[in-house]
Amino acid sequence: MRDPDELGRAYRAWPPEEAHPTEAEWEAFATGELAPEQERRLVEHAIRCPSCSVVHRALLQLAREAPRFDPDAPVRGGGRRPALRPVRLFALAAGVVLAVTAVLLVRPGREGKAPVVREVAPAAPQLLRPVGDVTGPPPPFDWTTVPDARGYVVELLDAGGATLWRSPEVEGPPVSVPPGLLFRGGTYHWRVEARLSPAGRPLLSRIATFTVAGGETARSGPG
Amino acid sequence: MASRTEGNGRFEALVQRYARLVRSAVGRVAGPESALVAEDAEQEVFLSLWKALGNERTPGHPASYIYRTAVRETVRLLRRVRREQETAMDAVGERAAMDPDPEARAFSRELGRQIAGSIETLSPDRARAVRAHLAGYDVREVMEMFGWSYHRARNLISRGMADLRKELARRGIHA
Repeated sequence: MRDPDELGRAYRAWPPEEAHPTEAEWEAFATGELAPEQERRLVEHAIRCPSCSVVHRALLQLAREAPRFDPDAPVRGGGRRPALRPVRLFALAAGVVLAVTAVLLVRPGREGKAPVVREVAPAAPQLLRPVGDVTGPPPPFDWTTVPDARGYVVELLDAGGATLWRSPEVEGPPVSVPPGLLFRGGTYHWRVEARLSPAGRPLLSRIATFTVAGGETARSGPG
Repeated sequence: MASRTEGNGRFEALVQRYARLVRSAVGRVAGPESALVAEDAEQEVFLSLWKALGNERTPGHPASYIYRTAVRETVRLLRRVRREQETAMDAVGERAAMDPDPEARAFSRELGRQIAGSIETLSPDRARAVRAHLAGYDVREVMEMFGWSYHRARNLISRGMADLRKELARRGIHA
């Protein structure tokens, strides 16, 4: 049986023979401005290329941690959308005109049942707190709600990514962890899964991180 | 005037925190070798950010400029780390010293080629999980990249690695 590290070293010694992402592409990736297909190609390249995988991992960390002290950071997947470029703005305007026209064309009489128009896919929940450094008892988990969500499940992970606790399905925030569960000093991650009704695909939030100062802090209180 | 000074102070504090974050991100992914870029990397990044921002130091809306500049500095710093590592290794012949056996080096490259070929035979998600795992991503990063749950990411890595070993064995490589 070969050492798994040896497999990793050998794999990393065989980089792909293809162009690396440019600085501009990395910047667009970090700010969430790459089109999904471009982002998929960049990720597929990064997991094959040793030098690009370190850049990719560093930018993931930057995007994950910058909002802790800078809520306005235009990170990928963040609450703030990147500025629209003129072409996108034109496409959006054209889309709105078409949508309004379509609604007007199919609108039934006053007695008729209004058609259901799903304009965009719902956004994943945005995690509000706890994030960053926490002193004292961590506050209840709080996040933005999602239209059409039937319920939410909160998952608490330890620093290594192992699940410590999963909540039952709840109607919405806030959610406290059960009495008796202790937060030892250290780093924790959490996320929220929005369950759409009636049987839509679950929407996973990004992962948020908080750090509890040393010692143990008992949580209690209503959920 | 006081509020201007206060605004500049907030701006400087934000740049300082970004500089620490860039250093932390670079140190985390580049490992102990990143010490090669000097102990004062944080101060260097701070100065680079400060200079790069130039006239954009508008305390009202600095965030996107600073974040974008931090991204650029991270990419440049990591490229520099890599260049300096390669230069240092070439200069003192460490590359040969670390792997003195040319046969072993050739075998390692051949193993790399066989691994890359074997991964192509896996199902798409297992292939992604294995590539990311072998490239050094941890489970949390894999979860985040592909939107998988912890258990799914762990299972795909574990089963994908088992499939990879089977395929390598089929090719006569017992890994």
